[in-house]
Amino acid sequence: MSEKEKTSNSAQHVVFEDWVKAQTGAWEDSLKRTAQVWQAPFGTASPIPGEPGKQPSPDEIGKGLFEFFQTLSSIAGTPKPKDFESARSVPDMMLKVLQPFWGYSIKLQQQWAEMTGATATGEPENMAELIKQMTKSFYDTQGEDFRKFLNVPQLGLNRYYQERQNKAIEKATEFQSALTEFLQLLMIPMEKSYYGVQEEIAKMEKEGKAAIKDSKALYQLWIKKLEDHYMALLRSDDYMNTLRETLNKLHDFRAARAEFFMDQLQNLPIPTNRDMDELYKDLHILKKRVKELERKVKRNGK
Amino acid sequence: MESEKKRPLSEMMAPYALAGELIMARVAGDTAKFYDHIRKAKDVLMSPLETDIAVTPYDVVWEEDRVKLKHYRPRTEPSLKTPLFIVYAQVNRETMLDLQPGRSVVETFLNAGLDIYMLDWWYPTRKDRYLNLDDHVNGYIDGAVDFILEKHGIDQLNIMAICQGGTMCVMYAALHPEKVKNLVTTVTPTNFDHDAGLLNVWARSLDPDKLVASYGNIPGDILNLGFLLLNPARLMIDKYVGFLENIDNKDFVENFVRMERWIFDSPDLPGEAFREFIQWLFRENRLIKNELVLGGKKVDLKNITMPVLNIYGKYDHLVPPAACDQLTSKIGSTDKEDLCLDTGHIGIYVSSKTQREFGPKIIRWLTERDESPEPVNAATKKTASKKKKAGEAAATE
Repeated sequence: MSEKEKTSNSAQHVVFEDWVKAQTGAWEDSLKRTAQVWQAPFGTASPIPGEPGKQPSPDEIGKGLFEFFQTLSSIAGTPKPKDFESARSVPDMMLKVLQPFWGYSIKLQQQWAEMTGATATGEPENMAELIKQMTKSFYDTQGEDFRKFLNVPQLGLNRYYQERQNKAIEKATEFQSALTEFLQLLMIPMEKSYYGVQEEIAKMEKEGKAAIKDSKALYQLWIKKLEDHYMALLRSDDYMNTLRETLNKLHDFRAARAEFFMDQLQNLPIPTNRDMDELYKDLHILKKRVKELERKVKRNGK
Repeated sequence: MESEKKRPLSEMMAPYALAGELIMARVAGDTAKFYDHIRKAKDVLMSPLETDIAVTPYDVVWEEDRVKLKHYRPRTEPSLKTPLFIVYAQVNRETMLDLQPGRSVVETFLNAGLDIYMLDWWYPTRKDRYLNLDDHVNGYIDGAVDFILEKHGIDQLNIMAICQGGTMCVMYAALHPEKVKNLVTTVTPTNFDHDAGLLNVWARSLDPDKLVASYGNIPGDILNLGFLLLNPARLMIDKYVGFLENIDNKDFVENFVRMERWIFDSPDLPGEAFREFIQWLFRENRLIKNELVLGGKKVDLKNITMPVLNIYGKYDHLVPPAACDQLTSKIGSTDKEDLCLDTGHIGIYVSSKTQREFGPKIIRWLTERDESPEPVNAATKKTASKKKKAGEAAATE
């Protein structure tokens, strides 16, 4: 099996194969049903499967139309009347309208699956691992391209403003990546506790002990396992490093966002945090000096 | 073969489904009881609930910037000559000491005839981000102490301090020993060089400069999130499962809501003070090493020569015994005592069992030292035995 074939079994395919299949199936069904509905008023609709010769009822036509426009507007907004002018028949028109969206949607899904599959390693064993592989792959590949785009040199009078805006977007993306990894880490004890409970029950059965039938006792067993796994995780280097990384990324994002907002606020009669902080610092120093002077006066007065 | 390897999504979701089912099963019990439970819960939740906290009457007698000094209205003639000044931490609020009638340290003290003043740090705003430890110790605490001393026409007062407030009061007592007659520290971290608590491990690896640069003041919600993450299984799941189980019990619901109101009433921390606290104490452990300098003066623990009662909780996961039990060996006092109670960080103030032990012990200890112009030497012996007991207890834990 080639490397490419191996990666086809990776995390993303667990989700995306099913998803693409489901999406495609749903679209096909929807198209067939809607085409039937559109054709019905013209007497050209195919018979309802399983019921030869029977045409869709007005209710079914209405329902089909509603579903069709609902689906369409959800992905592309409501089409304008002139979009339909060149369509010679209703089913053709539908296909014409839908094809670009459908095609694009499928293409995106394929790109996503290829992209994530190409960088993922190994078979995901659990949700935490699955999410980690998916997000990491996304941010490592797509994020890199996005970063390059955001770092294209800016020119002209607005260059600094544009740079700060791009930096805020870049830092937001990096923070999201770090946060997802941190949250994924917090999911691990949930999964370990589940398998821990299973093992515990199997062990009890093996030792001939009575199985836990009381849900409260089972809950206690689970919550204890969960607590133990969290305690182990929260003390681990992995957790500490991820926490530190997340906080650092949060800081970078907040700093970049603050700079961006300060640019916006300069155009409004609103003081920025930077303006206010300077004032607060002056106030703080002045207060200390006044207090010190008050003390000296009091001491001299005595 | 490959399909055997691949774990379906539904199987991956199983741990989360199990969690949901166990929680539901635990809360629901059997069906007949469950409906009864829900009906009663509805009655309880829709009925008027007594969830106010900090209801003991007081007057604000001194203010500086945002900081206020509360004076609790006495219920009896004062039994002690020396007033008691209480300093709480800046994390969460001092209302913990007066959670509800019957579970109130303030009430216990008032009933015993203590004259109580309590510092209320209130809610810092962005303006307060430059306030540092010196401003808190030599500014606000000293300002409030001077006010009380002047009001009573005395030279010294008693101080009881809690958690981070205790750390600041240890600094204060070392810098202004002439103003402190007796010092009671409760769950007060003074030694930060240990790995007994997660908080310590985390705080040491944080970059306080970045946090302060990001936020100005450190948001109370972030601190709370950190506290919840100390034990997510208990604090974010089990606690609320317990609530749902007892949701048909009015007393339980009222107590639970009171505690929730207190826990999530979290003022922000002034940025610069936070930065110094993390850097100088958690990372460099300057206080216990006698290396801390505030306002240009060295904080020398040997200057603490007044009687000291140091109380902490054996099961405290925030400020574990290892963070508290070195203080008395580093100070200059001869009259000193360590007391390790079988409780946790909050339980020391609110649990019914500790209420019977904690408050009365402090009242007794202060009363014994109220008349005496000199330290009560008899207590030194007692201290040694207590200290040994505490040490033994910690060792056998």
